[in-house]
Amino acid sequence: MEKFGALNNPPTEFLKWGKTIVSLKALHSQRKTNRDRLIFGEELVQLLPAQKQTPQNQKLPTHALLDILIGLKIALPDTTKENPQEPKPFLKKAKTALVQCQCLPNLPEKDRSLLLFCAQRSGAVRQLAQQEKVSTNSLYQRAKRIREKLKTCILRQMAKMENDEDQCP
Amino acid sequence: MKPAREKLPKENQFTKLLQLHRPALLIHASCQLAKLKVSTNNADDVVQETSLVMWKNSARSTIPQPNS
Repeated sequence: MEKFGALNNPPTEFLKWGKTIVSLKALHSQRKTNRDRLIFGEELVQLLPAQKQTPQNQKLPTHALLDILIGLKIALPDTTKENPQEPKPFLKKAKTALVQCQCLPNLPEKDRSLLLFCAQRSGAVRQLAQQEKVSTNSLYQRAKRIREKLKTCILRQMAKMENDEDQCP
Repeated sequence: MKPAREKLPKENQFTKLLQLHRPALLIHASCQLAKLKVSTNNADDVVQETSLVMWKNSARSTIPQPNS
């Protein structure tokens, strides 16, 4: 990386120099963001009070729902990252599809509990793995497959929803 | 109380240039973040970090270090 003193003509080369560093820092920022899987964004937090307690989702607390939605948000780059400024409508729709439509209610109890364990403090999955005498990694793999299943379901339900309506089809 | 250290000419030049080009750097940071498909909300932080790196590189090249 060049230094200010090494610039031949600082007034003209300063911006170019700065842009190079900005690009590197932006890349660094992206890596940092991708490493932090659980980021509770403002939009998500705003959705909290709106959560409807139905018998199907009573056993899955809000933070677990958020965990699923956050996981899906990252897994759906084409839908969410194209327009990062407006993730709220997408998340609202995804939440409706997850909670009120067929996705979460149709999920087996065992799968739902695993997602709940994944959303809990670190160490919970390890304990579960010890109880069930399986490896932690296999549980995380299973959770990943469940999330994928939910993602497919949510996308299908969202596609069926009307453009601006957040109602189940 | 210590008297305020007089700025070196290069430090002055650096500060002025940074002030002048900050908006352009901010736009560039937003574009880069959008290109990387991450939220552009922290473009300001990226520019802030950039300024710091630039400042460090600038300071090292203009202000003699004690042991150098």
